[in-house]
Amino acid sequence: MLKKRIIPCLDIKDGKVVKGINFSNLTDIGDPVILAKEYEKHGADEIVFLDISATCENRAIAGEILKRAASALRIPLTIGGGMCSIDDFRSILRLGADKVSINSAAVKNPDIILQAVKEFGTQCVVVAIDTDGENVFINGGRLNTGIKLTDWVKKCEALGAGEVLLTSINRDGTKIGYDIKTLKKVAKCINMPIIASGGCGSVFDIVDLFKKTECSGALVASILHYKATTIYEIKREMIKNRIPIRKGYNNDKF
Amino acid sequence: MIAIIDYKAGNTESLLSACREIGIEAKLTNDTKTVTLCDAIIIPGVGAFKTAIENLKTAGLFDILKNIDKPILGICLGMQILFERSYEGEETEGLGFIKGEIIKIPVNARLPHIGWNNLNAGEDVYFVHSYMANVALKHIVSYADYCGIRIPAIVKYKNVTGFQFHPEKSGEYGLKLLREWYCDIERYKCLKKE
Repeated sequence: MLKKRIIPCLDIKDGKVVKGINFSNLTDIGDPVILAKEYEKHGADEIVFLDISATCENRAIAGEILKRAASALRIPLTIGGGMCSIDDFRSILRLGADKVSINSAAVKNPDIILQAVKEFGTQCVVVAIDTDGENVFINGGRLNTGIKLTDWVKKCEALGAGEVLLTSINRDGTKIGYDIKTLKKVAKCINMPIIASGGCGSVFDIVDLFKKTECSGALVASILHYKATTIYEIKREMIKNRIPIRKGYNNDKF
Repeated sequence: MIAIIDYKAGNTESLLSACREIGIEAKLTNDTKTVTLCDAIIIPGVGAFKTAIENLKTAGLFDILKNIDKPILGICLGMQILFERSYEGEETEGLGFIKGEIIKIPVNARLPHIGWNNLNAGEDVYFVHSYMANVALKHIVSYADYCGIRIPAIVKYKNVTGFQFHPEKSGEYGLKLLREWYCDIERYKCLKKE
C-alpha cells in the first residue's frame, strides 16, 4: 500500500535556513543539510529546500549545499525557488536534487514543463501553485494572474508534470488548517499526486487533510520549525487514525 | 570496482554516495573500456525509456551492455531497459536480458506511483514511476501492491537484477538491499569459477 508522506520544507536564504529551527543537539542550526538530516532521522519521507532568495539572475542555493545534501540524505530531495529555465533544471538535478519545483516561470512559459519532462522525465517535475482557491498567483503570491486554478492544474497534467504542490496563500502562516475545499476540488480534476501546503497548525490538521482529501503528502514547515510538534508526533497520530505511514526507519519508536 | 553507467540520467550523486556509505567502490563512467573491465554494473536512470536507449546508443554502450556477462543491477528506468521492449511513448527495444515488456501501470488510481510503498515481504521503499514490467512470475522476487495492482519491485534472472524503486532514496532499508545485491556479486564470481 502506498503511504502518505510528511514533507518538511526548509526556507533557505543565502545558504542558511531562515525559519527559527532550534534543535538543542545541533551546533550549527543554520545549516540546511544538517537540519534536513535531522528531519530524516525523525521520520520525514522527503525534504523540500525552498530558496527564497533565488531569482533568475542569482541562484543562491550553492552547489556545495546541494552536493552535501545529496550525499547525506537517504530520502528524496526537492529544490524550489526562482527556477526560470531548463538550464536551472539541468544544473540543479546534476548537483544532486531528485525533483525540481517550478512556479511563476511555468505560468509565464508553460513550455518549460514540457521541455523538462522530455529531458528529465515526469517524475522530477513538480509544479508549485500558489492559489487563493480560485485563481493562480505568481511572484511569491503577490500577483493574481487571473488564470483559473482548475484550468491551470489540468494544463500542467497535460504537459506531463509529475506532481502538484498546492499552496493556499491565504492560509499560509494562519495555522487554521489546510484548505480542504480547494484541495478536494483540485483532486477531482487531475489524476497526478497532490501535496498540500499552507495552514497547518497542528497534527490534527494533517490527520484531517488525509481523512478528507486524496492528497498524497503534506508539506509542513512552521509547526516543525517552531517545535509545536515533531514528525514522531505526527506519525503517531496518523497511526491512531489508521492513515498508512511508511515502516522501517524509526518504526520501533512507535 | 563497480561501474555506474553515466548516460545523463538523473541523480547519480546520491547513488554514488549510497555506494560509498556501504563500502562499495563505484565509479560513474561512460567509458566503454571501464565498463568492459569492471566487476559489476549498475544502470541508474530516471526519465523516458526511448531517450535512455538513445543515450546509451550514442555513448556506444548499448551493444556492449547487451553482450556483457557480469552482474548487472538496473534501478528504476535502469531496470526497465533490462527488458525486451517498452510501450512508453512509441514502442522501443530494450536490452532484452529478461523476457517481458514495459507497460503503463494498469491502475485506476493516481499516477505516477510516487512515494513509499512496501515490498510484499519487506519494508517500505521509495518508488517514482508510471510504467512497470509485465513479466513472468518466476522472475519476480518481490512486488508492491498499488490499489490492487502487483507492481514488480525486484526482478531477477541469472546475473541480472532489477529494482523498480530507488534503493539510494529508501533509507536504511534501501542500503540493506543494495548491500545484499553487492554480496551476491561475490557469490556469482565464485560460481563462475566453478
